Amino acid sequence: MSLSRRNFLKAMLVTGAATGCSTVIDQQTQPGLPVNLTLPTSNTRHPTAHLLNRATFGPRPGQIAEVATIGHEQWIDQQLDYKSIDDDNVNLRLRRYDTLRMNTRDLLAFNGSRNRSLVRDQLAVATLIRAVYSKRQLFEVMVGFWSDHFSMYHFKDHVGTYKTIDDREVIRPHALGTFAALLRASAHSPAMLYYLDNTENRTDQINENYAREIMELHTLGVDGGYTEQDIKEVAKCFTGWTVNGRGEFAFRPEDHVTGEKYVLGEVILSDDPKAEGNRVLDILANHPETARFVCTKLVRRFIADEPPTPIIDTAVMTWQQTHGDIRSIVRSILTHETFTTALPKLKRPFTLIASLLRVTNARYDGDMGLIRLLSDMGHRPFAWTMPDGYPDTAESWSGGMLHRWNIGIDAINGNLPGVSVDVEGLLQAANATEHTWLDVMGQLFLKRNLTAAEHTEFQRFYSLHNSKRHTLGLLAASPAFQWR
Amino acid sequence: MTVSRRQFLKVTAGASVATALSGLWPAWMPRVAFAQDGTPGDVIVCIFLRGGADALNMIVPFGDDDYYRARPFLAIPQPDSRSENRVLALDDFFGLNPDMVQLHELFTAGRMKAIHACGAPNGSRSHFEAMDTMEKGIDGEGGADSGWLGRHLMVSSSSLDSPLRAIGWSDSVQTSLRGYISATAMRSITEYHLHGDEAITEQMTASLAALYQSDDNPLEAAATATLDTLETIQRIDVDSYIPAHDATYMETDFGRALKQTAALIKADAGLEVACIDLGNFDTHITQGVTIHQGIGFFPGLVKEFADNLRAFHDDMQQHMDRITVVVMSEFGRRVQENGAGGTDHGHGGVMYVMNDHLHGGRVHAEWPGLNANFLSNGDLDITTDYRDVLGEILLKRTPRTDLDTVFPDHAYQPIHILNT
Repeated sequence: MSLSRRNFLKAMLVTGAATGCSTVIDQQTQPGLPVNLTLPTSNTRHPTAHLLNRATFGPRPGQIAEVATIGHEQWIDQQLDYKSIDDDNVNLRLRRYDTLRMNTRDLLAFNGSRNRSLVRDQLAVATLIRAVYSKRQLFEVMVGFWSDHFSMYHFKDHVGTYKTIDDREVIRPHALGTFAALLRASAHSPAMLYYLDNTENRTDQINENYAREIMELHTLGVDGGYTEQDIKEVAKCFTGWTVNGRGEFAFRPEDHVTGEKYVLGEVILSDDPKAEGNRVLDILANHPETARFVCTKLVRRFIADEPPTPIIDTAVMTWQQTHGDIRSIVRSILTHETFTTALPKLKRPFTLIASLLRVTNARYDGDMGLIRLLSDMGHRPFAWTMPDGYPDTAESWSGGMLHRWNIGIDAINGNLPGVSVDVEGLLQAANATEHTWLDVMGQLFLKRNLTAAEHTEFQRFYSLHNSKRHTLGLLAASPAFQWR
Repeated sequence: MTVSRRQFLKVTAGASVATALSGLWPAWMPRVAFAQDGTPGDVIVCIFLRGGADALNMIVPFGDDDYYRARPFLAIPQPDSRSENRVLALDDFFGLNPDMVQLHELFTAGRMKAIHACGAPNGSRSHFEAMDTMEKGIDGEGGADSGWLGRHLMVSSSSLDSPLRAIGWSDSVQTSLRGYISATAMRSITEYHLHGDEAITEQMTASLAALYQSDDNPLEAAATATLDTLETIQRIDVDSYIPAHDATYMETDFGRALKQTAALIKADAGLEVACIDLGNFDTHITQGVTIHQGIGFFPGLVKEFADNLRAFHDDMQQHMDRITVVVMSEFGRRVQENGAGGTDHGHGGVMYVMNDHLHGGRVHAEWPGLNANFLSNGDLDITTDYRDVLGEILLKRTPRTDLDTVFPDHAYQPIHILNT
């Protein structure tokens, strides 16, 4: 089976025959369930579950045992060396979304066209498919992090078409690279130049939007010690940074404000006008406040809403030692001695859905309805209006309880668009019997034994109508599954 | 507040009968009624114009020549001009954007007023920071993590509060409502129900209640509030709601939010605070002057704002005695237009208040002037703290508030925009 499957994949990739057989590809690339699914049987959550909850979009069936065997640090290193992980399966699934691979010229043809929503929709749905199916999970988690950090609103002017290039050529290549390279790529990204209006920033009409946000949100943070005057000066340095008619980055010397500028106490010489912006990027990327600001956000994402100072300090130290090597910084956070005791994080809607599809090994055919649902929950990829990115604290997301419940109920009942869950298959894989099925499913979802109270309630609910499906819906909607 | 809620209900009962006879009275009306102790005061409808609304092109200081000097392209012509784009005079200095014509009658009838050169004196020019501190009602970073309305709802809560006491018409509750755990975010009443086999909805609800009831579950309060709301809301059939006086709301998020707010108020569902957002006011580029010119998106936005607010007023005429609508934005925009036909982030802005208890002129402003000498970093200065507007509303229209709790960093200064 595995051999023929492998050959099939190779054949598909070589011939590129992807359109028209999406259903076949979905079937062929759907991960299988382990023959003997071993589940955690402790009263406290399996320690590997904690790692996978933070470093992935949620464990798949069997993954706990697998990663526990490899060892946490080894697994983290494998994940950080993401290019060595074969991801043909997900790439094959993504083949049907042609706009992901289009060059700038072809993408630009969508601007002003009736079909331009296609570009946005394909990137949004690809983002969810990657979260659910990619084996490069930590990489995808980091792509998500940087997509929030360098957030853009898909529905502003041309951002919807340019964001596909930004995702492909800025965020993804640099997500586990160095911060300085990522920042520089972002500053040259047509999507960002449009989104924060730097295309309008020139001699006769200084536009401060990018200058303000690059310091407040991308680097120093709002308390990073810059002044209104710094914003004005940085704006001048970036005058003339724009997008040309071919949709590429361009520097227009005639739009650049000449003369020396003063940024954060440094003189920016103006002998090479294009170099001024780059100089600003260097100052910002290497500023100690930037390390602290970005590390604090990383620790908030990986550890807790209130990021513990010792872990931030470790991450900042790693940043300084490695000149902002993201791989090393992420590693220092995930392997920190206090990592295992981190407080629970509330799953944001995107992660809730991805983790639910992963834990049930659901089939998802890329139906846009799921993206619309995320939109309703206020968490569609690339649809946060403001440049500060989606919030990352429980407080900001606890308002959507009804949606959370409905997602759990709908997923198991086959009412989530494009999603099907093979309940029988899951029960079989876990060798569940009439007596053990509830315990086993509790272990699958929560990576620990059900508490007595949980067990009593689920059993009571089940006894009212004898429907495993409804009971699993309740399990998916239960409080414990909302946290990671 | 002299007329108690109960008396008010008696007084309006006559009106109900009349409407019922005309066949317009919605069938759902009397089913949900929440007992209240004492007088809860006005329903506060708080509208936030997101992105920094260009106050100078909404309530136009046509009497200030510097306005025309700073905005050669974007200025709206004086009321005596022959341009079709001219402002609608409110007094001899301020005029209304012509695309907000639907509100003109309300202004002239003394049912709506603007407070100009208003905002957060120490406010930031960054959207997030400005919105954050303004919605929290505090001076700057490091203060409370709750919102001004959240704290108001907390200090004025009672054991008889309705689960629908506070609604944010949004995907997640607005920062201003934070701190009041029962505040519910929803986009529409009809979408607010539990999915799954209807035959087991009741059992599912009971089990969710049991599962989420636990001391160490941080989601317990949110879950309980949601369950209470579900129970209340299933008794309201908003689909059959017909606005009074032929009021027509737009089929936009903003229009729908106002319409459903109206429906809940008439259903007597115990609503006390509704938060509504209207976004996209960040007009850095090609904001446009008036709809007549056909350029830019600002004109359409202010029209959406004005038309729907007018619809709400028409719909709620008989109820305006116990409703206060207040409108705010995180900041105004720079006085000087930029070269892209837009305006950058500014400072002083405009607020609006709509109710039946207004005092004084149509525009309340201690005008600082737009001359470069009077500007704050190139922006309209702030002469009225937004918390004095909100404070006066709470103090005069909601008897159970406590301003020291709601605005801990600010000593309220009466500005006399309300008479009671």
